Amino acid sequence: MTEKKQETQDISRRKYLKYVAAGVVAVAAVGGGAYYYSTMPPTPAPTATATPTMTATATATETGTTFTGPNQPPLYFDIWLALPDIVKMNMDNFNAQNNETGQVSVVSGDYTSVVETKLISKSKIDMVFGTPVQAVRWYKAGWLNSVDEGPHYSDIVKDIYPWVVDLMEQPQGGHLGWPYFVGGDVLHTNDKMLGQMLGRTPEASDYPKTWDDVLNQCREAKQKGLSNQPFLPEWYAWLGGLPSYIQVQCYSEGEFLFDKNFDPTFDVNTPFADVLTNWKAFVDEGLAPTSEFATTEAEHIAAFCTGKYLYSVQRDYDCYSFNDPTKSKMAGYSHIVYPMPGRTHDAAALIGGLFLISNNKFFDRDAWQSFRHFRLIEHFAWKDKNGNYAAKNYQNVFPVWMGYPSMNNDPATRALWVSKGWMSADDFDNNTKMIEGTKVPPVYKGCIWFQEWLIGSGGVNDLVPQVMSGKIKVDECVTTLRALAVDLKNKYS
Amino acid sequence: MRGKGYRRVSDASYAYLLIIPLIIFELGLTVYPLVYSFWTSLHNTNLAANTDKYVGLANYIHVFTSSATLNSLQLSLVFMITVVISSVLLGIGIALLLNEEFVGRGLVRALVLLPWAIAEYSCAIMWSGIYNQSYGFLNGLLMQLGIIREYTSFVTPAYAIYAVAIAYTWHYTPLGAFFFLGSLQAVPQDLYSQAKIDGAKVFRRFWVVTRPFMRHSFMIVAILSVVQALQALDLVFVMTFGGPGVATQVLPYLVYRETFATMSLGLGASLAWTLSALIIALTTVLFVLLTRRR
Repeated sequence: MTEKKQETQDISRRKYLKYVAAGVVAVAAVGGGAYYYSTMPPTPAPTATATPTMTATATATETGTTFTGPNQPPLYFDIWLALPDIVKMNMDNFNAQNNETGQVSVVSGDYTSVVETKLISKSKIDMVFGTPVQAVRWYKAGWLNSVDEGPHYSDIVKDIYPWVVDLMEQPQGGHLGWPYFVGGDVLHTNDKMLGQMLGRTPEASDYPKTWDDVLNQCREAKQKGLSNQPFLPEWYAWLGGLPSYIQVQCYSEGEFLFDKNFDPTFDVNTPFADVLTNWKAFVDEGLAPTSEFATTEAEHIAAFCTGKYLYSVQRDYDCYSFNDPTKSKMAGYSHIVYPMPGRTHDAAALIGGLFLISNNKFFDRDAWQSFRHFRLIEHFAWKDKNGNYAAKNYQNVFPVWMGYPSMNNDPATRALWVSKGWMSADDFDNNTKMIEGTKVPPVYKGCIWFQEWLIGSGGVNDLVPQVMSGKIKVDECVTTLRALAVDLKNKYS
Repeated sequence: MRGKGYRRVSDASYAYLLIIPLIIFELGLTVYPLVYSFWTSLHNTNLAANTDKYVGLANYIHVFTSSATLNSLQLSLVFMITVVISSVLLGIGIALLLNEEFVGRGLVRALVLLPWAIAEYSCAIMWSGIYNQSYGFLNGLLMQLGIIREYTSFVTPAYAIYAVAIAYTWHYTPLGAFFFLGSLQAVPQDLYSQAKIDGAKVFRRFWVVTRPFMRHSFMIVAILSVVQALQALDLVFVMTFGGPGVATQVLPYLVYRETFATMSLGLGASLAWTLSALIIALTTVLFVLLTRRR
């Protein structure tokens, strides 16, 4: 065996130490610099104006105290992917009117997880979107600031729907945020198919009054060969799908699921069980596709646009798609059923999205920086400096209802939406009435585990599909969900 | 003559000395998070409930006794077995075809690689559309061929895991195929000639001549398939969101849900460690079995 002579080099201790030190310094410089720039906000540029304090620069005005000072660091608004151009437009207006430095960035992927990670790690995040079930958790964790300290808080309270203020109020004090739109799930019709079924043009009186009426009409449609599965339920697994739909139908039957102490009010003899039994009937008779449990919101909307279904539970604003001739095979024939079918017809026209600001104390903000944040949220959620509702920009391009009666009752908005063909005048009026008459479910006022009951392990999202597939019975599902609610309440108290 | 302070070191030692800073950097980025993750798994850390209590192995006991975990474990194993078997068999078949001489072989080889080149997210969106009950391509095709009379659901609670596995196999097979193709290129052609002279039929030639050369690529593809399949999250997340119900709630998805949806970091970390242990155990067994000499 030949010996392989190993090549060697001369190396001195000095040379070695030099190389290692250079490497360590380089690594430390890169790592330390990255850490510094990721956690420290940019230092405000020095100006001739002294650093503002409440006493030095506060000015009393008719609407409250105002401040002035350098508009640094930038205000960061992380948004989800819904009409980002409108958000950017509103931010540009805010910057121009207030000489501000606000920035918008779109979060792709799982918005909630990304935002929570940023809030936990105290990343530079100033305003976010959220739904009430999420916001309640973030508020309890101390990551959000109450909007009560805003300079225009009282004006907004006078202007907004009273039920919004009620919904936002938290048991530990303060209000969560302000809505950027309100609305909920409603029952949409396919009047083209309904007309074929009835043999004449449908009228509002033909629409179902109860969920059993929906079932019976679907049976008739199937029997007449108009549709194989006439009902498209909102069963997809996202928070806005099955968790939302089950609330819609329960509330319309007078079942609010939890009382003000967050104890479950449902059991096997209450409307909650009736709702599940109703859904099971749809499945057993082949009137609804169980594949809906594995779809997404976009697929759910597109499916109803095919015109193959008689009724579907969808967001109120989705009439925009259903009546669009470029997307829908029943354009011009889709309407919103009013009142909501059910025993009590209570509508769950809840808040679709909230503007939320991060906690001023948590982020060590002084009075001036806190004021900038309130100014930001009030601009977006209410009016700009010229007295115009910023959210009007949404309503000009998309049929979303807002938290302010004056916006929803605006004849110009009504005329615009009707002229665009998004909905009929009756649909506009009826949905506005549903929103005005919304009742606030007690569980939305401070229950931090409600989301977990809906989408967590062993929750609604897990068990309801198993009922529909026949794996478990309705009674077992109701009993298990009731026990889960009790466990969660104990776990978080 | 060199002065004091100089000594001879080998090239290898010199190289190690130079990469020590990088090793330190890597320890900070990899080892520290692993240790911290394991430490978290020993705590009841729930951000929503604002708790952070040391509970020892309680999270692991919950993992091994919870019906949700056992369901996820079962689904993960079913998914893994389906993907590994189908991607290996398909990969071998595709490699054998691509190893033959035919016009346009280069173009076909490039096209075969496309499913692997597409991002898993895009693959999931595409297959969701294919399976869609209301307007899906598969329903339309089967209807046109007269195989079905009405549109049907392919993502039912009973078969959803297989539907997702098929999508994942489609995405993953080209990688294995090219590993196998590389092995096939190394087979001397005169061995086939000799086998033919000896009267060996197609399958016999494959078994005696081709298979031994594919042993190592088979090991690589099998181990990679096991690891990738057990870690698959993107496809499940986008295609089914773990549904219908819990029908596709594989272990990685359960880790995601516990960690991010319910903010139970302790339980999520223990699930992640359990999954890692499973992957290491399975790949070790595979490695031992496939490298064992007769």
